[in-house]
Amino acid sequence: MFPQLYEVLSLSARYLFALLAVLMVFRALVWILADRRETQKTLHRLPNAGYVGELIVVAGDRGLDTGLAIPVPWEGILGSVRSCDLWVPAAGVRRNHLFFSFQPGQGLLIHPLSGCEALVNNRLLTVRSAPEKTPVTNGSFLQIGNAVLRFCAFAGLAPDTGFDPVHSSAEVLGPRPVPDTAVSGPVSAVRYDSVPPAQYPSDPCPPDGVYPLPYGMTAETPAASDASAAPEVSGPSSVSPVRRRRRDRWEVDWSE
Amino acid sequence: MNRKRHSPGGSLCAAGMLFYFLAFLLPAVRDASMTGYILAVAVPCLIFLGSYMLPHLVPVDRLLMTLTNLFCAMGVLLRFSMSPSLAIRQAVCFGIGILVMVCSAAMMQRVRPGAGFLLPAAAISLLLTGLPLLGKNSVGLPGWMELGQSSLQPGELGKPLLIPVLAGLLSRRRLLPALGFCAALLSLLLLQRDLCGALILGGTAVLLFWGATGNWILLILGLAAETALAGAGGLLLPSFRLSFLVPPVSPADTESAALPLQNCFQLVSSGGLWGAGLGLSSPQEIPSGQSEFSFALLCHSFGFIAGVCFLMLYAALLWRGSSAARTARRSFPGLGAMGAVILIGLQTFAAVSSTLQLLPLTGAALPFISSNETSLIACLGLVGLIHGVSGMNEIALEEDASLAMLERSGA
Repeated sequence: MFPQLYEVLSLSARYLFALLAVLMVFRALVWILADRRETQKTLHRLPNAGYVGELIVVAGDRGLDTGLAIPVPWEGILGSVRSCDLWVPAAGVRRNHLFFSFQPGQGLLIHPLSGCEALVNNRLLTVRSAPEKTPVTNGSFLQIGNAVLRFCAFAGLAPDTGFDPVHSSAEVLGPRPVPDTAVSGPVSAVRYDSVPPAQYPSDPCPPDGVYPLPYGMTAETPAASDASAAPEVSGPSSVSPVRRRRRDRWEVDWSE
Repeated sequence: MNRKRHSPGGSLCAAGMLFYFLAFLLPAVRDASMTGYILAVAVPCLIFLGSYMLPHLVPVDRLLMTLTNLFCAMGVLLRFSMSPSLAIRQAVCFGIGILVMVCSAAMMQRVRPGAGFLLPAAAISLLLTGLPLLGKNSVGLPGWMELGQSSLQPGELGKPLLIPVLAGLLSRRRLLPALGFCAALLSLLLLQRDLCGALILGGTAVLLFWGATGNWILLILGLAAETALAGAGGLLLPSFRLSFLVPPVSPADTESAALPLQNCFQLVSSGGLWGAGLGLSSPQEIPSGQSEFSFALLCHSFGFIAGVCFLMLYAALLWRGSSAARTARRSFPGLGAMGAVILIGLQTFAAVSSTLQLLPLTGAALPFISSNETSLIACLGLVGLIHGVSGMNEIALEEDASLAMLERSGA
């Protein structure tokens, strides 16, 4: 090729190359934004995406309202600081209190960190007493500090999410979660269809609106006094657990 | 994995294919080079295959794959401007890197961070990093060793293993073993006088520790240690000292170590905004072993605008990787993807900053584009980790969708 012709072509092509480079950047940006929009739409349709269940607050401190449903991710740290995956701002809960991890078929495995304690169905867990991870099965009670929480796994995660029939007595279970039809917000209801109905109390909701206390707790304990202030409930269809939303957590985190 | 969703990737791929078709065709027509004609057809085809066909075979993120292909094609193009044989070699390394990428993605999806994986991976990573201490270094650059007719940087090959080891230890809250592993790696790198590698690795470890623990004190202490290390290295290592303190030398002084830095910056500035014109300049005066000048060559050939555009494409790649890390369901894949993103990001920053004289000559290779073949393979392995995590996220989202259908049907 003639050198002069090539020089003209090459100098002209510079602008085309720059234009193509800008076009590549523009299309990459559009692609990222389109994927982000689609992901947000998907997450809006699937409010429980990324979560394995909820911890329902049975009794708690000022930062934890009774009935609050805290979404539980697959894995993380539970503690009293906002940066934890499960934020439980109750007295007696350390900054990083315990490590949890969900394993399908086994349930929520927890392991208290050094110097921390937890009660699972009245069984004390510490680093020394329970060196292996302890499963918190569907319906189990978890007590850390002044907070008493009940774990409810979402349906369908595994046929045997580890529901523990030993503790499924009427005094322990407490009120049944609300069915879907009564819920206005994006709250998922636990399906107990796979559990024999004989294990459930005939009247799951206490008539005086007080949640039953687990395992030897009396009215004198701080958790008990908070529990007595629980709002009245007239029936399972009118109780709607308040759920901490995904974006609330991020708004709270960023505000600090 | 993105095949079920409509993806606006067609025009990105088409723009890239046209870019490289013209970029290879022009010099091929001038020189009547058969290699150039073959590359003008083969490179766009490989971009198309990698962006559209490969995601159907293995679970990779299509956008990440397209961006990676575009960067690697630029590496082949820049080597072609020096010598066609170098371009072929770069393309072969790209092919090997794709295999490593697929293996990394599979490893990330299948491996559990237990002792059965962490111990061997840590041992291999330490061995690869320490290998240059045992071998012969004829290149004169830290971290290199001879292997037959060629040279390679075995420490770079350890990076795709290093990140999963750190991520595995941190996800299981084994902070002291993670700290010990990092200290061992840094010691090996400092023994080889590879300050840049030590700083990049140290920075990655500090940010990963912070990501795993959320501990701001740890982050501040880590950054302070990095700064102290950089300062100490600048005082002790001759190359760094020269870059900062020695004034510009005369062109006749070809023995000076400061000469490459000046050539590098001259390359960037001589290209201007639009470039000097493909094939109109002669970048052959840059030694082919100086892998940190790839960005300078890019800016010289295509202009500063194109250089900035490629930096923005790097930013897009890092953003995509960090999105995959943030949406991971478990700590191990999340930390693994984040570690890969941080490592690629720091390496890019070091390479570009040294080209623009914002930092001294660090020796860091520009990811995917540099002539450092082991770095190319290692970076593709790191991208494979991100692909693996992205694939896991897609699978998890599909499972959630099917569970939601299950709940609705049971109502």
